[in-house]
Amino acid sequence: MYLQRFKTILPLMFMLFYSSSLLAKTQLVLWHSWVENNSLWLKIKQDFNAEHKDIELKINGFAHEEMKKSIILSGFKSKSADIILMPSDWLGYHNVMQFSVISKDIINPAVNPVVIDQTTFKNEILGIPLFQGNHLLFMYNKSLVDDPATTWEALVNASEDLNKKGIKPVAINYNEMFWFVPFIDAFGGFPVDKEKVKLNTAATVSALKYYKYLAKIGVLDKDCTYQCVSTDFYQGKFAYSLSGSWTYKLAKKALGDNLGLAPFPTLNGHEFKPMKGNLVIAFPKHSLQGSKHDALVKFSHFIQQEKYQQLMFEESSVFPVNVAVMTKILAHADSDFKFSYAQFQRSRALPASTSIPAVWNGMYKGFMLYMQGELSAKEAAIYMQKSVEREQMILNRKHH
Amino acid sequence: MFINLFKSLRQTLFIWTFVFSLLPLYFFSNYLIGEFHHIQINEQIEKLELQNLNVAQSVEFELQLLTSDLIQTSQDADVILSAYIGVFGQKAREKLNRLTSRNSLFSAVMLIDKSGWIAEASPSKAELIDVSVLLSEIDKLSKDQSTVPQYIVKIIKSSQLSNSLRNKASIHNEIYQGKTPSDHILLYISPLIFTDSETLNTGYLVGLVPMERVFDNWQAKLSNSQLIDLSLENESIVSRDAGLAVSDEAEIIAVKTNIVINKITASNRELTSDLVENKKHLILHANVERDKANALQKVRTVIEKFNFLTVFILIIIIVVNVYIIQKILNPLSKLSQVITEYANGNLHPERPELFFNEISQIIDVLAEMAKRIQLNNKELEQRVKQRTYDLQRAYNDLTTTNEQLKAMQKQLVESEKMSQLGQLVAGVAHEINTPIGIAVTAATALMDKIDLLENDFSQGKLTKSRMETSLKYHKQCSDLIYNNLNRAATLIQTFKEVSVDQSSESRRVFNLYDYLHEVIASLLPELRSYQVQVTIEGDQSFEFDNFPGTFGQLLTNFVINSLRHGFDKNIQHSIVIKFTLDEEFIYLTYQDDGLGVSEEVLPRIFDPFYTTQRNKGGTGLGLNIVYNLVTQRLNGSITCTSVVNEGIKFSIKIPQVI
Repeated sequence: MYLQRFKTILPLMFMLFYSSSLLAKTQLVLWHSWVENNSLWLKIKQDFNAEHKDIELKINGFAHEEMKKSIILSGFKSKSADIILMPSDWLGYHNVMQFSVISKDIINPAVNPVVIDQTTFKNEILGIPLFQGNHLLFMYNKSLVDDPATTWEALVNASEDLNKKGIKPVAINYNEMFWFVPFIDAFGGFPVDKEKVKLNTAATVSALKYYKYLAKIGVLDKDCTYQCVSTDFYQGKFAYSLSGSWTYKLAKKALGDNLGLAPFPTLNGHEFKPMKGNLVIAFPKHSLQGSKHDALVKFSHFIQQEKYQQLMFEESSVFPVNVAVMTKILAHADSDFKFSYAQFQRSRALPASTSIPAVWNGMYKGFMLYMQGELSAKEAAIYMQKSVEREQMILNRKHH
Repeated sequence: MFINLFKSLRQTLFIWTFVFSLLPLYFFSNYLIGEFHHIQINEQIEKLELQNLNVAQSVEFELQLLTSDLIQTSQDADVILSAYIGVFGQKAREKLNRLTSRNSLFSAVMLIDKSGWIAEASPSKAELIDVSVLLSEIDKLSKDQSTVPQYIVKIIKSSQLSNSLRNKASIHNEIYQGKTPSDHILLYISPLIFTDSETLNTGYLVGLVPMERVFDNWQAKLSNSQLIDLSLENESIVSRDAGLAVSDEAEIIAVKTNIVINKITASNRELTSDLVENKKHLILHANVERDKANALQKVRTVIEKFNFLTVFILIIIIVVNVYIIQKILNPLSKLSQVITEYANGNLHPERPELFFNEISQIIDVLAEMAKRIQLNNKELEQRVKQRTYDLQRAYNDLTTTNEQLKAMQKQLVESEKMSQLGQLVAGVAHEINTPIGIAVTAATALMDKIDLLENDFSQGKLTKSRMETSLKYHKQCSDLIYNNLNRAATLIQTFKEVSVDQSSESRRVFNLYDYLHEVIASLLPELRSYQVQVTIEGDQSFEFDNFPGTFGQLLTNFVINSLRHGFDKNIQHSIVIKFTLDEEFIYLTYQDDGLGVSEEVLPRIFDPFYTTQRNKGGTGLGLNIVYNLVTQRLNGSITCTSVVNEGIKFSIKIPQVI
C-alpha cells in the first residue's frame, strides 16, 4: 500500500522539484541567423548556463529574413526573443522591433569606438557590437584568370573571351540590392546620407543603365542568385565572384590555392566600394528594461569576452570588435585575411538609420520595374525614391 | 416507248435493280437522315444549354475559388504585414504571384496600404497602375463599415483603370479578339486584418478581374459556340463585335444563362465568418449562340459521309449488278449466238461453256433439235428434190401449156384484131358498097340514057330539049358517080390507113386530132346503126411521133365496146373523146353515156377473155388488147370508171415521147 502511494507520489515530487527549479531560473531566449555555426552556439549556451546557474539560456537559429520577420511579428505578440544577434543595419527597425537603449557600461571597453558609433541611433546606443564584417570580396579563380581585372572596363573586354570558353565572367547576386548599391556609389552617389534617402539621382540612373548593360553583354548574369556566388563559382563556372566575406572559408575549402582575392575593379576611375556592417546584440521589445535586465547584462558581459571573440572569429572569419583580439589576429593573419580586412576597412559602413532598411525593399521594386522595361532608368530612380521614402516613413512612426 | 424500255432484259434488270430497289432505299434513307437532322437540332439546343450551364457553373466556380483564394491570401501574415512594413514584401510578393498564377482571371492583385500606396503587386508592373479609382472604393469601405472592414466584390466601370490594366497588367495573353472593349472590372477587396494581439487593419488586398477576361475565359470553355455578351441588370458589360456575330437568327441556336458573381462558398463563409455577406447577389447574364452550321457540322459530316457511302455503295452495287447481269446475260448472249448460228444454217455451232445449267440445258435441247432438223432437212431435201422434180415437170408442162396458151392468146388476139379488122373491113365494105352501088346504078342509068340518046340520034329524033334533058340527066348521073366513087375512095383510103396502121403497127409523126377523126370516120358504118354523136376535143395542132395504129385500135375497141355493150339503137347516145397535154404526158379520155359497168365487173374489165356478151359472140379480149397496148406499146396507164346507166369512162395517160 505504501509502495503504491510512493510510486504515485514520487513522480509528483519530481515534477514539483523540477518546476520549482525552473521557476527559479531566469530564461533568456536568443535568436540568431548564424545557423551554420551551431557548434559554436551550443558551446556558448553550455558555457553560459554552466557559469550562471540561475539563468537558462535558450538559443534559436533562423534563416536571415525569417528572423527579421519573426522579430517584427513578435512585436505584436506577448512572447518575443530577449536577445537577438543581428546586422547593425536592422537597428533602423528600432521603432518596430523596439530595441532597448543600451548604456555604455554594458559595452566592453575594448570595443572599437568607431564601431559603437555605428550602432548609435539618434545618440542612443541600441546594440552591443560583437563582430564586424559582412562585406563583399572580389574573388577570382586563379585557374581561369591569370591577371585579375582592375577595372570594370577590363572585365567587359575580357568577358567575350571567357564566354567563348564557356566560362561566365562575374558571379553576382544580381537582383540583391546589397550587390547593386556599390554601382550607384561608383557613379558618385550613395543612396543614403544618414537619415536622408538619395535615390532620385543621376548616379542611380547611370548605375541602373550600366548594370543592365553588363547583363546584356554577358559580363553579369541577370538570373544569378546566391548559388552563382557560391556553388557555381566553386565549381569553376565563373571566373570572378562578388562574394560575401562570410563565404571565404567555404570558398577557400572549395578552390584551395586557386582562390584569389583582388581589389574591386574601378568603374570609370571611381572606386567600387561595397558596404559593410556589424553584427550586434540587441534587446527587442525593450527586454533590457524588463524583468530580465540583470540576466541580460550578465549575458552581455559574457558574450563580449575575448575568448568568445576569438572563438567566433575562428568559426566564421568575422572580425572581432575587441581591439586587442583583432590586433592579435592581425599579427598572425595570412595574406588573404589581411587583404579581406583591408577590403573591409575600405568598404562603406552602413549607418544605423531607418533609411538603410527602407532602401532594401524600396529599391528592389524600382530596380525590377526598370529591368522588366516597365520604367525608364529615370522613372525607376524616381520610383525608388518614393518607395523608400514611404518605407522610411513607416519605420519612423510609432508602432506600439 | 416506255414499254420498249422493258423489252430489253438487260435494261429491265438494270431498271429493277436501280429504280425499284436502290433508289427507294436511298430516298428512304434520306428521309431518315432528315428526321435525324431534325432530332440533332433539338439535341444541339439541349447540348448547348447544358454546355453553357456547365461553362457557367465552371466560371462561377472559378470565381468562387478565386474569391476563396484571395480571402485566404489576405489572411496570410506575410501579406497582411507587407502592407504594414516592407520587410514582409518579398514573401508577400511571392504569395501574390502564386495567387495570380493559380487564378488566371486576375489581371492584377495589389496590396494597398491604408494610405493608398501599393505596397506590393502581381505582376510587379501593376504597382504603376493609378489606383485612384480604387481608393474611392476603399475609402467608402472604410467609412461605411463597422470597425472591421468587410470583404466586397463589385463591378466598377473605369476606362482609366481598364486601360492601365491592359497596358500594365495582362499576365496572360488575350486569346480572343473580336469583342468590344469593356471598361468594366470585377473588383475584389479583402481587408488585411492582423489579429494576433490586437486587431490591426494594415490595408487591403485588391484583386482586379477585367470583365473582358471573364468573357475570354467563358468563351475559351465553350466549344463551337460564341459568347455574345455578358450583362448585369440589363446592361451589357462585354459584348462580341457585331461584325463577328451571325446575323441571321434562323441560322443560330441561342441560349441564356446566368451566374452569381459574388457567391460565397461554404468554406468561404467560414473564412469570412466575421464578415458580412454581400446583401445582394451580383447576377451576370450570358447570352451564348452557336452557329447552326457549326453545331450541326458533325451531323452534316455524318450526312455527307452517309451520302458518300451511299453513292459509293450504290456504285459498288451497280458495278456488282452490272457484273452479275453480265454474268447472267453472257450465257444468254452466247445462247443467242448459238441460236443465230442455227438460224444461219450452221447446225454444228461451237458449243460454249456456260455457267448456268438451265441455259446449258437449252443449248443441249437446241443441239438435239438441230440434229432432228438436220435429219428432217435431209428428208425434206429428198422430198423437195422429188417435189422439185415433179414441180419441174409440172412447171415444164405448165410452161408448155402457158406458151401454148400464150400462142393461142396471141392467135386469138390476132384473130380478134383480124376480127376487128374484119369487122372494120366488113363495115368499110358495107360502106363502100353503098356509094359504089350508087355509082354503079348511076352509071347504068347513064348508060341507058346514053343508049336512048344514041337511038334518038340515029333515028333523028334527037331534039334540043331532049338533048338538054339528056345532058342534065347525064350531069346528074356523072355527079352521082363522081361523088360516090370519091366517097368510096376516101373510105378505102381511110380504111387503108387505119387498117395498115392497125395491122402494120408502124411508128410515125401524126396529128392526133386529125387521126382520131379518121378513125371515127372509118367506123361510120358501125356508128350509122346507132344514134351516136361523137365529139373529139383537143389541141388540133398537136403532132407527135408515135404509133397511130395503136390509137386506132384503142379507139376502135372503145367504140365497138360502146356500141356492143353500152348503147341502145333506139336512144340517142354520145361519145366524147378528149385529149389534153402537159410537158410530158398526153391525157386521153373516152367517155360514153351508155349502160356503164357495175362495180363487180369493173375490176375485171381489162382481164383477158372476160366478157359479159360471150353468148353473143364476145371474146373478152378487146379491152385486154387495149390494156396491153396502152401499158406495153405506149408505156402509159389506163383506168376505167363507170356508173351503171351513166356510161363508162376510160382515162389514158401516156408519155408524149416513148
